[in-house]
Amino acid sequence: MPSDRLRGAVAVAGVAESRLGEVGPGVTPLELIAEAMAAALDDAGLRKGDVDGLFTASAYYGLPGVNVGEELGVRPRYSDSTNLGGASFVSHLLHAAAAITAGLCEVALVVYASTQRSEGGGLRSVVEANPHEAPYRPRYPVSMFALAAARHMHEYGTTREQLAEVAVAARAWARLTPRAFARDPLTIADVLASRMVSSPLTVRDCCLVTDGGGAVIVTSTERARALRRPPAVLLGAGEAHWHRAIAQMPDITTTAAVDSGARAYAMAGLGPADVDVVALYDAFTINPIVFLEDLGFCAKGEGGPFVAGGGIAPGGRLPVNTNGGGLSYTHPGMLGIFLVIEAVRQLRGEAGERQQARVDVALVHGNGGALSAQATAVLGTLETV
Amino acid sequence: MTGPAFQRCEDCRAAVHPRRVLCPVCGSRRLADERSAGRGVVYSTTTVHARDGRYNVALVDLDEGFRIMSEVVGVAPDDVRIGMDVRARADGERIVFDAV
Repeated sequence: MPSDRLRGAVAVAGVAESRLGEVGPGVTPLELIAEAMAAALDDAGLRKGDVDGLFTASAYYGLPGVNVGEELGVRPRYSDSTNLGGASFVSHLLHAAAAITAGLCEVALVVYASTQRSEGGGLRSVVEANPHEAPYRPRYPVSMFALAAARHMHEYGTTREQLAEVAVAARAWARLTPRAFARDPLTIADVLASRMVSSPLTVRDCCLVTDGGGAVIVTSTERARALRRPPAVLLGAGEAHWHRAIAQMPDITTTAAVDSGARAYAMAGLGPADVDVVALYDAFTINPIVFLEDLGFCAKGEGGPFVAGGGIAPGGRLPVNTNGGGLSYTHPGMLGIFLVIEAVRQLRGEAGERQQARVDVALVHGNGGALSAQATAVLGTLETV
Repeated sequence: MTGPAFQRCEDCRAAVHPRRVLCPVCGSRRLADERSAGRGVVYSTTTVHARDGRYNVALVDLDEGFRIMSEVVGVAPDDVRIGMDVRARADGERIVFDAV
């Protein structure tokens, strides 16, 4: 298969976040992007002049690549502003691997930031109104995920308590993570009793709205070996999308993650049993349940029992979103880049109190839109290549 | 005939909604305009809790073989159930559904 050429060809050589949480008024996303890039280059031991590939997506700028390039003084010879919503930055890993392997760039910067919390706390979005949805006033995107949750509960007996388990696990991880935004104790009863937004999802079933930026430096594995930090090698990646609007999704309990995951596993030559740490886009508590199923960690319909009893919490059967994820760590509109950053930290062994004992392989999965766009990456240590 | 308009692919018989030029299943250009009889089943449902009250948002599977977003009215939003038989009617510019 041609995609075998990409297995192990590139690696993440640097990662960093900007300020997170609430940065206050008057700070632009571009400033956070600059902070994140500078810190990620320091992490990698590279300089701005080394960057010749630029990968970004934005809810602010219609032509995000050129806005970001101008701000940073980066003049890419390869520029990719693929926007798959929150899946973008996982997708960008795949695209960067292809570009670097084809010789179209050598050092790729994948970068994102938002200041949506300081602007008033709503989800900043460039998503167009759908004329077939708008007359019915769904709250985008939460109502779409609520519809998926309701159907999952109907078909498989998933319970609100099992949904709440996802939020409670995320909070338990966040309590081990100094930079996490939400670190107060959270119980299943707290989630169930919190304000209903779009049934069955309460406000505690929904991700945070924060500010923040992140940057990831990707280069050839060969070059990464000579740099400052242990490379996190891209073993496999895949992307897939089947629909845009939730009404166009044939079965709203099964996503295109089935395909993106299969592609990533096939390229990596690995399967779910080989994965030590998982990062899943948890915009809502139903998401990790569906993605654990679609990515093969359990059978379809078994996601609820899988997360029950602290299944994905610290000390559980599978460590998922070890920094607290979008539910408790940070969520500046699109989470994908932060999932990659956490996976890299776990692979490097620099995750502090939440560090898992042995991490050879990490899986990252991003979602965009209304369960629409899916992108999966499998990262490993140098020993796994 | 109070149901939503849709298209029927004259080649693969897929029901197509919303309106397209090409059949998304087989790529055919031969899409014929039809109108649903308005009978359907609730595929999923949520109650939106807004500042000015609660209302239903549902996905409804029409008997002709396509799915739309709509609202089931005439019952409390939380009483709308997946699998419930519903019937379309006009509500101004919108098409909504009554439980039957």
